Amino acid sequence: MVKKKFDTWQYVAVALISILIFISGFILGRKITHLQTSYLNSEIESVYSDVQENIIDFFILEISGKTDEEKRVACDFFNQRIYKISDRVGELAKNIETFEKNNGFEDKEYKKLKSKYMDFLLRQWLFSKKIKDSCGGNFSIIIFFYRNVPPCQECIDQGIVLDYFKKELGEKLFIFSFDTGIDSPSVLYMMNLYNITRVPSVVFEEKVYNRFVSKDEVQKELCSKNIDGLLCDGF
Amino acid sequence: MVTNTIFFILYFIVIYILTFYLITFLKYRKKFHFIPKVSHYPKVSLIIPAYNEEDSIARTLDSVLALDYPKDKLEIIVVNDGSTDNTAKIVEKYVKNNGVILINKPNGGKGNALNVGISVSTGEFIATLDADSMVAPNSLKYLIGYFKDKDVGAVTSAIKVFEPKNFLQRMQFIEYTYSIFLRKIWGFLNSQSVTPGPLSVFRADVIKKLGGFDENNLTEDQEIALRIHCAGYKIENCILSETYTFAPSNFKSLWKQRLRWYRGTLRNFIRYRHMFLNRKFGNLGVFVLPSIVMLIFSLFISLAKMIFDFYDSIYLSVKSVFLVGINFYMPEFSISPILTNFFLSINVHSFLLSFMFVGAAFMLYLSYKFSKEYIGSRSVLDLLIFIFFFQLLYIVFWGSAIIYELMRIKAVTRGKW
Repeated sequence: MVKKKFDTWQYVAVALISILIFISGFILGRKITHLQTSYLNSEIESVYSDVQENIIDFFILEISGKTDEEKRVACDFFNQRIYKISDRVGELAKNIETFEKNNGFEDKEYKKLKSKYMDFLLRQWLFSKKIKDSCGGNFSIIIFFYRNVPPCQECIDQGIVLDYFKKELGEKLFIFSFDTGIDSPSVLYMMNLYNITRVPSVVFEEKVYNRFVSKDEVQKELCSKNIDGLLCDGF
Repeated sequence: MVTNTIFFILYFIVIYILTFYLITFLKYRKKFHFIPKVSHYPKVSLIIPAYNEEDSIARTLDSVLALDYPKDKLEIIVVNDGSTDNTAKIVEKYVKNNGVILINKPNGGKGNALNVGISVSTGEFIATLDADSMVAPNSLKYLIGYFKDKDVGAVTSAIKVFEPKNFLQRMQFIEYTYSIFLRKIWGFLNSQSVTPGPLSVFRADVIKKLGGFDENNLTEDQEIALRIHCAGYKIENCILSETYTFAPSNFKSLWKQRLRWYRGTLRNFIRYRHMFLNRKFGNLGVFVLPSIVMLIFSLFISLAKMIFDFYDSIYLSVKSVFLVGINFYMPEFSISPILTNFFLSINVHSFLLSFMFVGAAFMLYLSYKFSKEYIGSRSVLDLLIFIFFFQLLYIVFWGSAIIYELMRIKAVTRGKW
């Protein structure tokens, strides 16, 4: 009969090695999160500077007071630019969403990044609005207020509806999505501006819906703005 | 947050288990191919229980007769467990020409057949061999040397899949090769929880003292191993003692086999629950048995996560249909967004999972190396399929075994189906 034995030191050594492996996984994870946020930050800054350049150009060209022909040329120029920026913003939004999906919403660096993105969105919205007001561009603007934390099922539903219209209309629809769960002066400004009391809320130009807006309602609103590419019979 | 915590705990446990095995390997790496020298050859009774084995019994007996072991020290006993085919007729030829002992008895299951064989055996050692397995010429000689240590109650061999032909058999070939390495590691830890049917050798006085095999057990080869441990004996393994077995070639037979294995394991684990986390049983009680349960548990946690994610995506799709109807959009393919998406998808989980993958793949490599198997280009593809997909089948087998046990669906012992 043998006395069953085991090497306590092996158990301790394995525990220490496992802890080391585990910690290195965490350190590498943190490192990659840092790289990801840096990448997204640089993307935001790059699009941001594009928007700022356009805003400056817009004021230099002084659209108001020009002849109709001069105004048309300038407007074509800015419309083209805003569509280009809009594409980049779309890519950026997708990238931020991928990051959120895989890293959650709690990371400090992410919160800073998101706040910066919200500031950027505010400026992009202001610029788009200015172009639309001055040039009457063939696009509609929707502002969407949502929240990731705590979870909001209606916000997800609203996202699905708006995403559908974005896919249908492409560059004819600009959607600016503001995360009300982020501590950002820009979000607060927008909420105060439109008197947003709950999420989801949707703003069509100046019309505010402090509730979920169905596909039919969105279609009706967009049809009333005479946006090309929508089947508006019966709306 | 809760899900993350559960997964991090599981990752740590799996990393601990893998590290434990790899450290054990490093500790004993020079002894992997060690075989104790044999000064004299004791008498061995080799018992082959057979039930409807007309397709394989001749090949099994031929391999046994080719064993490099003194013929006067080898007693070959075939127990025909009520076969309804030509098994008895085939064995009778070997009785006439080679002195094989044939016992014909009514069907009573594998455990019963082995006990009948033990009752007529005269050897100092008892070897058991499944009737669908073949032994390499040196296999028995290599195993016997381990009994020089009086504390050794049993010794197991290295089981390989015989000529894997189809995909399912190739997957089992990988699984068996992995088991060869693990069984040796368990041997070093004195923690083998199974003395498999395809060639294990027992000290006759020990097995008789313990009352032979449990006749009503679904996995009697596991039960006897646990009983040997409880009696305070060691179970060794010899990686160079090779045995070849036929692996199920279709899903139905594999399903039947695994359901019996896993249901048997569940029953034995419940029966021998006092061994779990019990220092008295050394590494087996403190580490190996709990780690098997933890790995099964982690399979189910992974399954729960997969089901949850699947449900989530289905729910979103259905919700989307309700909200905006059915729409199809052609996805845009370009490399840059895919790479960006991949880069942004990496997180702590990815690293920890990668570490686990590297550890498991390294163990698989060691398994091939130490069982002297060649990894060809086809094997690499098979290995990848095994690691990423085939292992999911274990969830199905274990899940079904648990459900069957909970629902008390009647189980059949070996040789009775």
